[in-house]
Amino acid sequence: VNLKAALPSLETADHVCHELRKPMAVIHAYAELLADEIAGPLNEKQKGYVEIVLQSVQRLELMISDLFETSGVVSWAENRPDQPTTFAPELPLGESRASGEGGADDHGIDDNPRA
Amino acid sequence: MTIRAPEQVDDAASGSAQSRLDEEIGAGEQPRLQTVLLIEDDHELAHALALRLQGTGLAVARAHDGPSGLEKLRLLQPDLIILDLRLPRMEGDRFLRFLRMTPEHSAVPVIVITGASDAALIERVENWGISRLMRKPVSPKELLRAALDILQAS
Repeated sequence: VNLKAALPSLETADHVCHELRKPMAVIHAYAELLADEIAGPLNEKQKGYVEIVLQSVQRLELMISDLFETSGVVSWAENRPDQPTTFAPELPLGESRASGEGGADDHGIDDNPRA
Repeated sequence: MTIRAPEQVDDAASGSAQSRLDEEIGAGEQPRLQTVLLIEDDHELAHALALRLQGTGLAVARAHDGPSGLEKLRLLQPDLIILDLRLPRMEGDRFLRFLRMTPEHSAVPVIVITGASDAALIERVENWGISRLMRKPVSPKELLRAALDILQAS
């Protein structure tokens, strides 16, 4: 499929990309909450099923990214590492409070907060 | 089986909205919780993310468009903002621009979450100063880690 040719503009492509990712984000978020047992404990079979949902939504996300990549719509995410940024120097607004690196595990976030 | 609908938050800027806000963020409790303002137009996603953030003791207020986000920003003085870029009535990049041009809020750290792939939009947002950029679908757990990292560093 030549998606780039089919799309009238990059703006439209971005909109399509965004609209596809919206329901995926909801599925991913709730599946992860279930997997982490935020909504209550799961038995082993339930954990397995939820894991399938999570893996599938991750595959779908990769497929969407690939689709837009191969069509020539460059995704910013692959080219822009998840790094903090600061204000542009010409802006007289002071410095932003960029995040520190690392230390995420120090917060004691547990996959299973009920444990 | 009963399925509870995600909590709806009134975006109106009124006295009653304030009391609901107080209830939402646990105002009056001591010590003051660190407050996160989550601006996301998808109610279901906002609910899921808020649920994860609240689980570690953060106070979370939600807004579902730019103007209500600005109102809650003024009322709550949040310690961190989590901002979607595609918002009704006021896009996230305009919200961010306003934030950075307002002296009392110019240093509030912001995590941007977005499903957009518009490189120009992303560059514009980065130029206004953000702490983290996360692409949808956002993992609630990863968002929580990022939020705690930033709050700890600020």
